[in-house]
Amino acid sequence: MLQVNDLHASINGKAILNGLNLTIKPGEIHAIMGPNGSGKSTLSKVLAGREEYVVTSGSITYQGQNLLELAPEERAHQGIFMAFQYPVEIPGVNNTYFLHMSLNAIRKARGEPELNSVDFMRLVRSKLKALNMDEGLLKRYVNTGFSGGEMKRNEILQMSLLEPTLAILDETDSGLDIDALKIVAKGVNTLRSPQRAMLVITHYQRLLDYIQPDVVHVLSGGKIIRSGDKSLALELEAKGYGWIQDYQEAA
Amino acid sequence: MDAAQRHVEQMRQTGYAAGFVTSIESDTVAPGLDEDVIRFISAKKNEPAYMLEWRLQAYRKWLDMQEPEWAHLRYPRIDYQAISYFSAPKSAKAAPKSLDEVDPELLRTYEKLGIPLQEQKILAGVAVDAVFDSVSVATTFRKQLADAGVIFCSISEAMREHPQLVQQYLGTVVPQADNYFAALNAAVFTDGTFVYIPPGVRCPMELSTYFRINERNTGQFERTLIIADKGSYVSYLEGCTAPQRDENQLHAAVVELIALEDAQIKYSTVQNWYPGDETGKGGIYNFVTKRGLCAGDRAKISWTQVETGSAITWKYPSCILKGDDSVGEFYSVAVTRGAQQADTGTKMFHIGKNTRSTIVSKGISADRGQNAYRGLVRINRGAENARNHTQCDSLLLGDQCGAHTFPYIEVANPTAKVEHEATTSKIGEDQLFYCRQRGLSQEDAVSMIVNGFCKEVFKELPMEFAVEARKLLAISLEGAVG
Amino acid sequence: MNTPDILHHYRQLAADQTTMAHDWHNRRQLHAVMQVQELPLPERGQESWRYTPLPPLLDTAFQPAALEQDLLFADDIEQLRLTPAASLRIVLHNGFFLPELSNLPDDGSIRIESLRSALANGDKTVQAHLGELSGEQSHLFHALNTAMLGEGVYLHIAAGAQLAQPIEVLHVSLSFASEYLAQPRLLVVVGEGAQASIVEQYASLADVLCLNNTVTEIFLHAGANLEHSRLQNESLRTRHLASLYVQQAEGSHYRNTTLAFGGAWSRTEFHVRFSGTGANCRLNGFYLAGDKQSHDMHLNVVHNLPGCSSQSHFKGILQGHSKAVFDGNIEVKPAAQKTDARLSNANLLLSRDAEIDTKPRLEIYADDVQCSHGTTVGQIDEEMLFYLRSRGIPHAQAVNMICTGFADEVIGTCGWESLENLAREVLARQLAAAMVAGG
Ligand SMILES: Nc1ncnc2c1ncn2[C@@H]1O[C@H](COP(=O)(O)OP(=O)(O)OP(=O)(O)O)[C@@H](O)[C@H]1O
Ligand SMILES: [Mg+2]
Repeated sequence: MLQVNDLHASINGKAILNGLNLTIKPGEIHAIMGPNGSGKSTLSKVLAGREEYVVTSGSITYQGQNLLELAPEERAHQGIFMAFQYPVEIPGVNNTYFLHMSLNAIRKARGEPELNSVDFMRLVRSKLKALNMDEGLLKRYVNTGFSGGEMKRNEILQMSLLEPTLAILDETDSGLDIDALKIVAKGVNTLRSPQRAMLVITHYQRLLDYIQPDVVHVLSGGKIIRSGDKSLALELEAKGYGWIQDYQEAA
Repeated sequence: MDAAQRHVEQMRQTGYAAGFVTSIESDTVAPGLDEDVIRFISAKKNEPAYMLEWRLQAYRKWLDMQEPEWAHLRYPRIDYQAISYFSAPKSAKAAPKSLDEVDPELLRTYEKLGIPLQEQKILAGVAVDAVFDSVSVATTFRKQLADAGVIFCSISEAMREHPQLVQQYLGTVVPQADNYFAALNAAVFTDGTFVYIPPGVRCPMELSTYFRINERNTGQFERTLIIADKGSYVSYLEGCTAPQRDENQLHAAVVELIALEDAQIKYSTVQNWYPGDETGKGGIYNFVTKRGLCAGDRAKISWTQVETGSAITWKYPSCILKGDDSVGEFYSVAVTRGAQQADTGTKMFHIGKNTRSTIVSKGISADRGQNAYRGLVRINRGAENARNHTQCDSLLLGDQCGAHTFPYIEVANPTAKVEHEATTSKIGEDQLFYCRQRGLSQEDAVSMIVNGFCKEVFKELPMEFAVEARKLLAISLEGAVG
Repeated sequence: MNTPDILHHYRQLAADQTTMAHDWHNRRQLHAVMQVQELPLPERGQESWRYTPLPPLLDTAFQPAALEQDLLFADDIEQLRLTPAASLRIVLHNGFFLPELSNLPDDGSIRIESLRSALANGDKTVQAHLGELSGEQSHLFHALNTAMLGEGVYLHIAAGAQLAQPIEVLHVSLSFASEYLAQPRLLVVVGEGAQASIVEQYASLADVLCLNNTVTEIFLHAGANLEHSRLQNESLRTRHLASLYVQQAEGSHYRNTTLAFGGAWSRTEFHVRFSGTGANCRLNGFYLAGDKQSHDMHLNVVHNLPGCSSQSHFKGILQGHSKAVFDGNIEVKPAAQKTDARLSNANLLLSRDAEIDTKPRLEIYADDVQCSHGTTVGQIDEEMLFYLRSRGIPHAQAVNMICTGFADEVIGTCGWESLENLAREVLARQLAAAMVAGG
C-alpha cells in the first residue's frame, strides 16, 4: 500500500530525513518509535503533504501512485489521515461544521453521496457513542481552548468518521488518561481491516498493549535504524534507545 | 498601607545619588541664542567652514518650526533665550592629550559617579569617552582601538581629523530639520562621540560615553554618530547624570547610527539625569532624537534603554530597516516616579524584504509618575514577509500614577505579520502570595516580580551595564526593588 | 468644490435653521448651530482623523434630503425586515421617520415617537438627554446632525419592561435625487431594570451617491440591559458616518455588535461612558473591506467610574484595493479603580493593495486595574489552511472557511439569527466574488 524509498526531506534548509525506507502492506499496523527530534513528526507531515517540508530525494508510492504529486487534500481524498501531534486551534470554526465539511469533501471525492445534516448528525452521534465521547466537543470551535486530551480525542473522532485507508497517528497517546487511551485504541481497532493500514507513532509501549502492531520500527537521525516485531518495543521500553544506537555504531 | 504604597513612600524619601555639583572653573557663554552664538560655538571648536554653514542652515529652519505638543507631557514653556549654549571646563579648553592633562577635579567627579577614567582602574574591555557639559574631556583606550582601525573620538575631533566620513554621514539619518529639537541640536551641538568601525572588524571592546551636565543654566546638546561598515560589530554604551538643581535644564541630543551590509550595532543607554524633586521642581528635560539606519542587507540595530532619570523624557529610538533581511530591536525599561513624565517608545520602518523587528517595552510608574509608550510600526508595500512583534507592559505602583500606550500600526503588505500586545496592571496578588507561600518577604517578592518584569530588557544589556541597571532600578524604586 | 466652499456650505445649512420658526428648539440645538460655525472640517492633522480617507466625506457638498412621498412601500419593508412581521419596527427613509410603515406599540411600556413631537410636548427626558452626549468632543458632522434635527426618533422602554421580541430599526436609503444628505437621529432610553434588544439595519434600495450622517444616543438606567446589533449593508456609493453615544448607569449591561459591509466609505464611532458603577459594556465589530471600500472603526471608551468593565473585540478582512482603520481608545480616569478593560483587534489582509492602520490606545490613570489590548495583522495562517486541506477540503473552500470562521466569532454575537444569517450571506457573496476576481 505504502512504499517509501530512500526518502530525504528537509525544512528551512535543515536535513531531517536521511534515506528513510518503509513498506506498509494492507492490513498491517506499523509502530514507529524513536527519540525526540528524530524526525517522526516530519515523516508523518511529509506523508500528509505539508509543503513546508521539502523532499530532496527519494520516492513515496501510495496505492500505486506517486504520492508526492498530490496536494494535501487529494491525499486525504485517497484515504490518508493524519492525527496531528499538535492539532491547531481554528477559532471561530464550529467543530461540527468542520467535521461535516470534511466528511462530505471526502465522500464526494470517493464518488459517494454527500450526507445531509440530519444523517451526518446521526453518524457523528453513533461514532461518539461508540467511542464513549462527550457531545460537548462538537459545539465548540475547532480545537480552540481544548485540553491536550480533548484535542487528541477530537482527532480520533475525526478518524473514525473519515474511515481512512492509511491512518497515521502521531503521538495520539501522549497526554491521555487511561480512559482516553482506551478510546484511542478502540478507534484504531474498530477501523482495523484487511484493506486498511496504520502507522502509529508513539513513545510508549503501553499503547501497543492495546494496539497489537505487526512491525515496530526505530527511527533515529532521520532513518529507520532497526525494525522488529512487538518484542522490540518491550526491549526499548526496558533499555532506552542508547543500546540500539551503540549497536548501530558497532555494526 | 499595602507593600506597594509603602515602597512608594520610601522612594519619596530617597535622594538622587548623582546629585552633587563639581566646582570647576568653566568657560560659559552668556544665555541666549542667535547666529552669533552659533558662530561663537563653531569658532570655539575650530570647525571647518562647511560645519558653520550647516549649523546656520539648521538654525534658520528651527526658527520656523513649532515645538511639538502631541506628546503626553505637561511642562512649562521652555525659554530658549534663558539657556546658555556653551560651557566648557576651563582646564579642558584644549582637549587633553592624555589623562594626565585632565583636571583632577574632573577625574574625581567621574570617580564619584563610579566611572573611573584612570586606565588602570577601568573595567577591562570598556573604552570610555566622557562628556562634561559641552565638551569631551577624555577618551580612554585610544591606542588599542586605533590598532584595530576603530575610530573612537569626540565629534569635534572627527570633524577635523575625518572630515570625509563626517560629511558623508552627518545628518543623513536624522536630517537637520527632522524635528524641533533635532534642528536645535544641529544648530548648537557642542560635542559628542564619533565612532567608525572598519569593514569586517569586531570592535575589541565595549565603547562607552558618559555624559554629565554640571553648569547651571546650561543646555547639553551632544551629537553622536556611529558608522559600522560592512560586516563589522560594535556595542556602545551611554550613561548620563546631572547635578541636583532647582531649575530645569535642557538636554537635546541627536544620535545617528548607520549599519552597512551585515553590520551590527548594539546601542545601550542607562539614563539617570536628575529627575527633579518629588514636587516636580528642577530636573532635566530630555528631548532626544535617536535613529538608526540599517542601510545594507542583513544589518542589525538594537536599542536597549533603561530610563530612570529626567523630569521629562521625550525619546523614540528608531530603526529604518532598508536593507533586505535587516533587523531592528528596541528594548526599554522606563521608570517614572515623583513628578516624572516619560513619553518614549520607538518607530520601526520596514522597507526591505524579510525585515524583522522586535519591541519590548516595560513601563513602571510610581507616585505621580506618568509613563507613556508611543510606537509606530510601518510596513511598506515592498516589505515582503516583514515581521514585527511588540510587547508593551506597564506596572503601576501607587494610585496616582499613570500608564499609557499609544501604538500606531500601519500595514500595506499582506505578507506581513504584525502582533502587538499590551497589558497594564499592578503587581498580581496571586504572584505575591505564591512567592510568600514559598517563604519570601513581601519586599523580596515585589523586588523579584519587578525584576522579572524587566528581565527581557536587562538581559539585552552588556554584563557590566546590566548590573548597573539593576542597581539603578533598585535605587529608583528604593524599597520596592531593594 | 474646494474645502472652504464645502465648509461654508455646511455652515450655511446650519445657520439656515435659525431662520425657521422652531418652537421646539432646545438649547443644545442652538449650541450645535453655533458649533457648526466654529468647528473645522475633519482633517488629517486631528488625531482621530489621522488615517481616515477624507475625500469621500469632503469632496461633495451633500444637499439635505427631502421627504419623498410614495417611494417606499410596505412591500419593500416586508422584503427587508429581519424580525417577524408583527414585531415592533421603526422605519426611517433617508433619515425621515415613517410611522405609517412602522409597527408601533400599543401598550404603555414602550414609547416610539418622533423626537420633534416629544420636544414639542415638552417631554422632560427628551429635553434633558437629546444632545447631552453628542455635544461633547464634537466634530462638525455630529454638530450638523443636532443643528439640523428633523423628525428623529425617540424610543423609550419603561422601567422593568422585559421585551421578548427585538425592536427593529430599519434605515432605508432610496431616492430619485443624488448627492443627498440623510441625517437619522435616534434617542434611546432604557428604564431601570428593563431588558430589550434592538436589531438595526442600514439598507439601500438604490445605488446613489449620498451621505448618511447618523447620530444615536443611548441611555441605560440602573440595571438595564440592552442588546444592540447593527448591520450596515448599504450600496457601494454610499458614504456612511455613524456616531453612537452610550451612557450606562449602575449595573447596566450593553452589548453592541456592529457589522460593516457596505458603502464606499464608512466610519463608525462608539463613545461610551458610565454614570454608575458595576456596569459592563461589550463592543464587537466586524468589517469587510472589499475592492474600493474603506471602513473605519473608532472607539472611545471612558472608564470614569470604578468597577466597570468593557470588552471590545474588533475584526476585519481586507480584500482588493481597500483600506481599514481601527482606532480604539480606552481611558481609565483616576477614580476608576477596579476597572477591567480589554481591547482586541485582528485583521486578515488578503490583497496586495489593501492597507490597514490600527491604533489601539490605553490611557490609564488608576492603578488597581486590569487592562490589555492585542492587535494582529496577517494573512491566513498556513497551519490552518494545511489542516483543512489535509482533511480533504479544497484550497479555495478552505480559505473561505477560515475567513468565515474568523468573521463568525463576531457575527455570532448578534444574538438574532436572521440578522446573523443575512450577514453570513453577504460575507459569503463578497468572499466568493473576491475569489473569482483573484484576490
Ligand atoms: N520548522 C522547523 N524549522 C527547523 N527545524 C525544524 C522544524 N520543524 C522540525 N524541525 C526539527 O526537525 C527535527 C525533527 O522534528 P520532528 O518533529 O520530526 O521530531 P519528532 O521525532 O516527532 O520528535 P518528538 O518525539 O518530540 O515528537 C527536530 O530537530 C526539529 O527541531
Ligand atoms: Mg513528534
